[in-house]
Amino acid sequence: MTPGQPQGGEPVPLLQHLYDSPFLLLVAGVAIMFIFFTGWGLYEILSLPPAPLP
Amino acid sequence: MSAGTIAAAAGLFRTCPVTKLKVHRDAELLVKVNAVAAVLAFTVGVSAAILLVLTRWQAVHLLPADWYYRLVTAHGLNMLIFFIIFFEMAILYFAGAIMLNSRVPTPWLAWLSFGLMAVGALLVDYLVFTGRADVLFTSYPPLRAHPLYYLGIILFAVGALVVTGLFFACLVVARREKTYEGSMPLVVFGALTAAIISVVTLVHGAIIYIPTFLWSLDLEIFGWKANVDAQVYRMIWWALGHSSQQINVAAMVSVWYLLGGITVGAVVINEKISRTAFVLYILFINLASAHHLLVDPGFGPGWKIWNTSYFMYLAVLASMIHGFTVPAGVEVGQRLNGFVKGTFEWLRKAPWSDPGFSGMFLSLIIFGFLGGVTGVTIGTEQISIIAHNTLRVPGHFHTTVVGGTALAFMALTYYVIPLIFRREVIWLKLARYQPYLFGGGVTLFAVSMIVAGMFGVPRRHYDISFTNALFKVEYPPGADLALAFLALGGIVAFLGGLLYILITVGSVFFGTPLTEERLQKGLASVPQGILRLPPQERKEESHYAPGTVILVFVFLAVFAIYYFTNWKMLSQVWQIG
Repeated sequence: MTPGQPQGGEPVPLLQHLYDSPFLLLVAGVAIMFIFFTGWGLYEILSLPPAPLP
Repeated sequence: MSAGTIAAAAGLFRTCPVTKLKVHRDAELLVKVNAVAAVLAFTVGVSAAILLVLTRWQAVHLLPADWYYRLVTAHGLNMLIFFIIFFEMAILYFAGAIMLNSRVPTPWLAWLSFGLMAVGALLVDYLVFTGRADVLFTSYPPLRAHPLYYLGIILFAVGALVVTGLFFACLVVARREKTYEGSMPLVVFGALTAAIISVVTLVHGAIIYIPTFLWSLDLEIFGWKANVDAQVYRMIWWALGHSSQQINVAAMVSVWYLLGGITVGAVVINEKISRTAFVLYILFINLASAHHLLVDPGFGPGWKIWNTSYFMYLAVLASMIHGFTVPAGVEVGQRLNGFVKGTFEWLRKAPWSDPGFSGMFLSLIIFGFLGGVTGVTIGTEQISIIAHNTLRVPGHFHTTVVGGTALAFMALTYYVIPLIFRREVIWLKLARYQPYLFGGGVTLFAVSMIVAGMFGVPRRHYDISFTNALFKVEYPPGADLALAFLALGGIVAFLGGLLYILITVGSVFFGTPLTEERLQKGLASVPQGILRLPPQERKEESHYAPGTVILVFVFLAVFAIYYFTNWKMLSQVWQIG
């Protein structure tokens, strides 16, 4: 359960920068959901042609 | 800073004698009230559950139709929303403030949000039990509840969203006040994952419940009448309904890591891999909300397959990573503890009489072998057509949410009682059996549900024989047998749940206060991890976990057999081959 501490003097890897940035992760998580699920889903529903009456 | 100010600040914290963590007293109190609220909601939910079980048992069929649907609504809301989310709020305060040696920055806001959640939950329960919200957990329009029902849920969701915001504030304060160095601990990172999923969930909740609330008021402004499109509602609602269960997954996995460390000194075998798995959850797990819309006509196959695949199964990969790293960490920890004989001595000689460990490990097994396997299978578009709206669906989610999350939370409770409430656990000997009773009951109950669902028994429906319908519905005799086993498993799980309530409530209100003296003398009635906290940091480095590798291959075999059996069943329905 030890925190992954950066080694002394070594540069912090790019991915670790991302993992250490809660707000970047938040934006990424929200964006993916709104783009692929909500946005695309709304587009699918709104672009449905009206069903012709029998 | 003056001496008086320092003294006042010092009074805000205490040092835990077991973990040596600096505990912010407000955070501790907030953990307590949220945990108590969770257990209260669990009590309501489990009371409804036993009556539902006795109704689902065809030979008994206890409740009249109106009370059946009312209690299905109450059970869903209290278990899936109130119990779980109150408990998760407690986890967020614990992880954000206590584990980081930090503090809740604005306690008054935390109390306000707890008030909002409590009022919201009480309002919803009042309206459900007085028969003004018989709309089931999903409340699909055109079913319409009393407007205050929707308002209650909005209040609860706003309160939870504020707590999530406070968790982020805790992270900022901890970073600024340098209460920890480097990256945040893995358990806190898991809680962060739960918090981010929670934001996605609650924002979707707001997007759909606010217009539904206006619709329920029959609101008309300047000729504009509030309305809700049924298909749009279903889509947005499931981004709340399903994603809320993904908060559970992230919180539960964090609890696995935490309990592994506290009970046997489990090792995180690779921090990067475990963190990456959490990030995959953040990015992709919510997309699985589309599972509920697989037979909806409003979406094309592209949207369905893309989303139900969790963006091509990356979130499933994450679960499989955790499913490996958690038991592997336990195995490595146990081997470092000296249990090195053969392949499975580490497992045989694990502290199975510690409800914290047994609950955690059973949760892991039930969630992985039953929940994961059944979920991925029925989430496949083609197979969904033979499982949709049958008892297979609740069978699946009772293995994930009840056998997985609820059991993990119960296991954690046995450590929360001494560490946070600072009480000894009453009936500790009986508590040792509680996870087995609850886990065993839930397993029998859920597997029976899945079997009954395979015979075509519908979910939710009060009268599965469709009395007076124009068509005749018959099930093979095996369906009745499965429903009887469902009842048997449900009763056993209920007893396990009841025992949990009695032990937790009894310990919190009547348990002996935990003193350092009794703790040091080994006299305290607390789980073994508290009496002898295993080493949390190891000097040796080891990744040797052959037993877990075997378990992983057993898992893959179970998954392959179940998955391909379902394709075979599908081919028989369609008379192909």
